[in-house]
Amino acid sequence: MRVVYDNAMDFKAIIEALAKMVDEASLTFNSDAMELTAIDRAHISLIKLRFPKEAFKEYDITEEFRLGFNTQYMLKVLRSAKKKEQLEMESQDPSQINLKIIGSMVRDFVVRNIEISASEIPEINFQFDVKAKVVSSGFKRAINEIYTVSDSVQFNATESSLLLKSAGESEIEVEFTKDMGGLQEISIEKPVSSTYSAEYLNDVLVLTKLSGFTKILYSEQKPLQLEFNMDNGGSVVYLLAPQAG
Amino acid sequence: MRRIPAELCVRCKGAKFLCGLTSCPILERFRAVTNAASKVRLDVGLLQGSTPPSVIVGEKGYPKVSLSFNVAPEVVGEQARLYEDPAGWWGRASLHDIINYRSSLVSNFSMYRINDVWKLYEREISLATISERPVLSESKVTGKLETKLKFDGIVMPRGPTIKADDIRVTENPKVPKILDRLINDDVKANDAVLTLYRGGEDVYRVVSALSTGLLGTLKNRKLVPTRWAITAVDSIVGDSLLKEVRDLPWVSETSVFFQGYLGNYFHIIIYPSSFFSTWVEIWYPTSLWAGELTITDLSEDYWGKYGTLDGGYMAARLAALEYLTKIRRSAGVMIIREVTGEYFAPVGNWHIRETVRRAFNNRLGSFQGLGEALDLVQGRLKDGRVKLREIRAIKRVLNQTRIDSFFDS
Repeated sequence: MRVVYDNAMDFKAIIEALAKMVDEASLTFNSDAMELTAIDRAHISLIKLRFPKEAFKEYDITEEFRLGFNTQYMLKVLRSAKKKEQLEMESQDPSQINLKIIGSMVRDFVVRNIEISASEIPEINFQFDVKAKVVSSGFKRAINEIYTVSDSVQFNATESSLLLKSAGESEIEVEFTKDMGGLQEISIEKPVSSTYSAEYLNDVLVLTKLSGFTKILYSEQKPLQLEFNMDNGGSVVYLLAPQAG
Repeated sequence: MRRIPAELCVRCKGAKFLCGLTSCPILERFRAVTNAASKVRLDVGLLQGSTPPSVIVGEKGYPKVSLSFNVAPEVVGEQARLYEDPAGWWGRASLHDIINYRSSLVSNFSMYRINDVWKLYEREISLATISERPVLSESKVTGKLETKLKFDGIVMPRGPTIKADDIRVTENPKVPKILDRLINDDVKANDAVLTLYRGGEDVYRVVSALSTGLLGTLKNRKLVPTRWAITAVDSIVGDSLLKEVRDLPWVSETSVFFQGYLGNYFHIIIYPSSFFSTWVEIWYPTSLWAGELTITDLSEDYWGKYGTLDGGYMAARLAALEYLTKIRRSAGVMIIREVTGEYFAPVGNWHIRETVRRAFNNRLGSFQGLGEALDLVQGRLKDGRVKLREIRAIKRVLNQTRIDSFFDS
């Protein structure tokens, strides 16, 4: 197998988020896309990514290839990746891959391919009462600020706005509206509010680097879905179970 | 710390127990201290006796610190062990007994720079503090015997203090083989602590070894204040156990364990989950540090990340992780500590470690889920006004749903 991806920083962001969720993960390269699904160790959140072969500069996969890796180790490998550097992964021998970060200089790593028992994750297709699209940088700041004072973030939607609130003694509210430009789109079946862990959300904010907009989907007392859809066709979906009460 | 008003003591004079305690701490301390003081031969400047062994390295003035080599005056051999024996004390010694033992132990102190470790080693002072049996010593002492006792939440109480000009160890310390090897090895302190623990050494000896600079790479050995060393050993060993426990299969049912000692009561809930730990302390109004009902909490996640470092939690966490390692299971852990007015003097955090360890031999029952287990603990609390389900850290665990519970819908 051999794949070349234009921006190593995208991988770095994904691995950073992944490393907060699991210690081991497995990337599957098949003839039309690279995919990964993982549930965090506490079974509270789930991450799913799909990069179609068109998202790569080169994509040469003749038969399915699974790359199992330790997320902390992979994070160390990718730590040196800078903007506009290329990532190349190549393997002649299924027990290891050669990973190159190519910029003004080339860093060459050998990463051992470890066996990871595949966990059974069913196809997920939730129905959502709220679908909104917000500016990623604004979403990042909102969660970050709420996380500094609160364990939970309450999502409230109306037909024209999305309001994120801290839960607990200190109060912070961040409102996304179309007028102010923070909110791109919103559609709701009914006005609902639901609460999610601020810590879990804060852990994956690095994913906001992937796309200018973040799609937010949720229903009351149901999981929250964040979608990061990239210009090259790649997508990362993050699902988070709600907090009750 | 709760203060007993002086006017109460003046009226009571140790006879009426107006403070509500069962014996007068002032009289007890006085008795023990004068007893110890009478055995120090101040006229010739000589203090003789065995160390249980016991040592405390202070932190004040770091990097120039005090080293208290604690000696039971005129007590020789095995009898001295009683003065510092956490595992042996547990369940047998009352708070009064412990204060008595510690008041009878003369804290024989001298000042050292933290890198003076080899000096202490050559004179076998550090070796005496890790000996398997009490070690006889002779100290030249000067000045006055200061009869104040010092109490601390982490370190054991310190008895009357006197300045030692020269400490001479007059009996051969019996150093455990594994420790003897590590003293001569060029091994990082972290690895040495783990080797000792896995080799079956008790944590108290490991703390003394770390504290007196007997562990670490040969070039970098330092004295480590005892209070830091206690928490360091708890967290080094705990972190290593956590790494092992994290990957084990989950427990299959929710259980509640209980144990109490020295006015501290521990309920521990073990529930099916990946490792996640919650620590709640309930200090009742008449307890030691609290004038009013005070509740504190902290959580540690799967990765071993916690908000604040708490010496009490680290001791309890070690005991809980030891249990999970023993049953080869991973779990969510909730430790609820109640501190009542019976705990009127802090005697270090050893009793937390020992009580939680023993709690795991006393299972109250198994339950359908965390909620049911919490209901049982709620009903057993000393004061029903405390609502467990409203405590932040507990609420956080109870309210968080799991993503896989939505897969079928």
